[in-house]
Amino acid sequence: LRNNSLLKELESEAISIIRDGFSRSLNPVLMYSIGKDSSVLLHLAIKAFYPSPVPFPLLHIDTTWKFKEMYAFKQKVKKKLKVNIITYTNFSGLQKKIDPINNSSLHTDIMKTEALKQAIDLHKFDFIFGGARRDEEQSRSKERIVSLREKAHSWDPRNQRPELWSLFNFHKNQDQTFRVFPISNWTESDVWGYILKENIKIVDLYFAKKRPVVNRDGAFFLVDDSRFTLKKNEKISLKSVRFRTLGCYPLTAGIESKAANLKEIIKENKKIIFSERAGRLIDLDKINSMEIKKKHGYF
Amino acid sequence: MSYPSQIKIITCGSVDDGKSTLVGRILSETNNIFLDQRDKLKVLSKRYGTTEDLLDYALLMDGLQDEREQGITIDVAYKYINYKNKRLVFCDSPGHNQYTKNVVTAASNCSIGVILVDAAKGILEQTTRHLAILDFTGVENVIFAVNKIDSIKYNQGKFYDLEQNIKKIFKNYSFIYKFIIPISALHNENIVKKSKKMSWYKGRNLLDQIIAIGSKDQKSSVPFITVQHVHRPNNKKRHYMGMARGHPIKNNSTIFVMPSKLVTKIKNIYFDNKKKNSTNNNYPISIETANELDITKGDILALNKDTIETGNCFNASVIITSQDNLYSGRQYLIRIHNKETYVTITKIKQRIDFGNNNSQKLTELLINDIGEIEFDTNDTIAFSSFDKIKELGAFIIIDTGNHNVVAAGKINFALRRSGNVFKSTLTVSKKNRSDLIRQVPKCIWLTGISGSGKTTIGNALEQKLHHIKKLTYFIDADNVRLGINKDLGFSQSDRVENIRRIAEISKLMVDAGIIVIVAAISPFASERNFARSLFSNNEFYEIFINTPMVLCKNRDIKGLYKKSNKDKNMSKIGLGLGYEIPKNPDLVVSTEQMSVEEIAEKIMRKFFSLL
Repeated sequence: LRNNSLLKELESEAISIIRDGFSRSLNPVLMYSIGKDSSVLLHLAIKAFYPSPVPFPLLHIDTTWKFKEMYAFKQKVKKKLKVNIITYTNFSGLQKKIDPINNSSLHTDIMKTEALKQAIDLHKFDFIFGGARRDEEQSRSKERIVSLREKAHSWDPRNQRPELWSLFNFHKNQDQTFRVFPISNWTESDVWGYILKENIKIVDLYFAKKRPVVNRDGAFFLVDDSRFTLKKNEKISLKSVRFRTLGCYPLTAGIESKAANLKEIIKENKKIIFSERAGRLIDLDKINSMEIKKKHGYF
Repeated sequence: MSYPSQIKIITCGSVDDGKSTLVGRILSETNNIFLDQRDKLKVLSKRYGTTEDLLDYALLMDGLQDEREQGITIDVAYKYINYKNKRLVFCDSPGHNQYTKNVVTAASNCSIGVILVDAAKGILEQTTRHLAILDFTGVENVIFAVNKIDSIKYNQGKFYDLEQNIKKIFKNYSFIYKFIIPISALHNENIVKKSKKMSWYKGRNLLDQIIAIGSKDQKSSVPFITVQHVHRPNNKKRHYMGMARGHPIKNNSTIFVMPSKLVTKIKNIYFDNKKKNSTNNNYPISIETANELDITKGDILALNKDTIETGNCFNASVIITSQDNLYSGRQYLIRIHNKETYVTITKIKQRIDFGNNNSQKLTELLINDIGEIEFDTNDTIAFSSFDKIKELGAFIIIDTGNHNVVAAGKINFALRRSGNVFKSTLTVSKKNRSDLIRQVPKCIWLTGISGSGKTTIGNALEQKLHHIKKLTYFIDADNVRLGINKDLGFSQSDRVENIRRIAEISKLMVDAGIIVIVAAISPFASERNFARSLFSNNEFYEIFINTPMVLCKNRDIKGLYKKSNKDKNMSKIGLGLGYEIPKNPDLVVSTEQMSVEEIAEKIMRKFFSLL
């Protein structure tokens, strides 16, 4: 593939969308999950406004169950890139003590979807930039780049607005908001290629390393802290694993791999027969679980 | 806009011609279905499938629950494939007429259109409609894929007949490349490899044909920069951010700001986190200029001022993408490149017919119509015809009330009419006139459903103002219909025109120094917004008479509600059904809670600061 010119085109489109959205918003924010797609999105935002700093804050929805390395990485980004990161946790949800191990879908509802909606309402954000891609999942492949959300942040996939050429319609009623997805048209391999080309720093968990894991039907879960409870007959073993996506650690499985740098990851990804989100338990509850979550306000 | 390393392809055609099956088949044959996705597809095929024991590839595309349950495609699915050193982006679009707006969405960014035709059914109404949409949105190349060729037993003669028919409808359009390929998506014939069952077909298989077309060079445009955003961090120097097109523009070049035609020099160019010596084609850049001029979002910076035109009256082609329809006389928002301004549709000139031959008075275009219109813009805009520079001639029209995209369009040419009508400057001003009678002219606009009490309130208000020696005029919409609006009926487009005229007359009267009171149902937010836009700040007040429908029905002063119970065909909006509730009125009152006298006093206090 003529990789460089493709990445240039995708980058150009994404920067243009970020600027367009910013110039028509009142109170924009960039969703920052600390994952690789967020890292790419942040890099694009920096490029979009160079030589000025990024003119909007980042929003991290913290479920308190992220990988430890992700929290450390967030602090580094904050310092190094001098960006304003707003962290939001649904504390009333936290008090209910719903953990992702025994109650994964309720946990996602309350600590991710609800929390996101609360944070948007609290800060009155009108434009929310996110790093979702159409190749990730079936319902996402149907979504507009500028996605209108109704009063309670709901998405109505049956009735999306027309979106022509690159003439985005950023007009809305007061109680509506926009989710804006500048890297909609990128694929997983584009993201990796771009990280390599631009030398973007990402969390170390993406690279294969010997880690303490538990094997559940071929999916490897990291024993990240003492909250992780072993089932009967389960043993912790040291395996070389890496993660293709990052979320809450008990809900995100790694794959066995020796790919310890970007070039090796890109090479290995070409041979992998499972999709990127296959390791995300929250997608697998029901056949259309992502669509249902999106309709309720997930990004 | 098409790119060299990505080929964007829309698949379209009538319902059940096999669009989603085709894209699913291509994904499968190019090894772009992951194992877990295939497992999911097996489950879905069992539950929703229509292909018996075979995998139903359409279910890979139809990713929404509603789509699977109804077995139809509602919205576009985007699928990304790496094949033979190219990125192919397939935009799988719906066949039902109801979702045509989504076909338009998909087509607008594609360079190749694949129209599927069922070999047994032949060309249908949707086939020709989609061909027209591809042409309209600027898709340069079209491949007709004659699908389900197995159902006519791979018969060359039957394919030949269909080919002749397709060539006939092709004749009306000037696509760059046109091909017709016999395929079977279900049985994988002529998709990624040449079919052995059709040795009579001498052309390429579908994917190879797509690659061959997509590998052609793109012509680059004249150099210009579209201004997307003016950034002024910490009140320091302004950075003009935008997209650079065409040959690189060098630092220190002289540039023309369009439409103002001001001249300046580029001082610094930034992109890719660096300071640069020149712009890059199709790349977003940030620049500083030698002197700080009035450059705003929506301006075009050009190397040569003759390459970019300016104007405010236009002839354009449009396609309607909303149930709201497009009305002559109504005011809308327009977005063309980065420029947004108000437009008024001055004329609907033509409507293209797809077989249903109902010649109607051209005051409106309905959803899915393609037509030719004329419009005036409030601001002068920099543009090019769509045929010359696509990016500077494409636009969307947005409803001012619900903010839907009502239409997509392309500018054909500017009308010179605007140059001939000069606004005469008058030496006696509005202020001179109103000072003479010692009052501040205003327009009080009473809106609400039939029977809500507009006329009664208007009367009471006028009496009060007259009593304190103010010069007033009360325009009651019903009375206007007996005179100047005698020619208008109750169709939606006539209602739009009715309010437009009342608003314009009110404006003239306010200009004369008079306090105008208007009582009109004025059911649509767009027209009320239009009325407001004619006046200055603190000159126009929208008052929503929010009387409950039950009460209006009981009163039924004009006997309209009674009549409507007998006659089902009676215009519903005459009664205020379909009335769009004002979102930001200056005042809301209800005759249920207050007397007419109290309401009139409240208006006096609030807007005239006197009683």
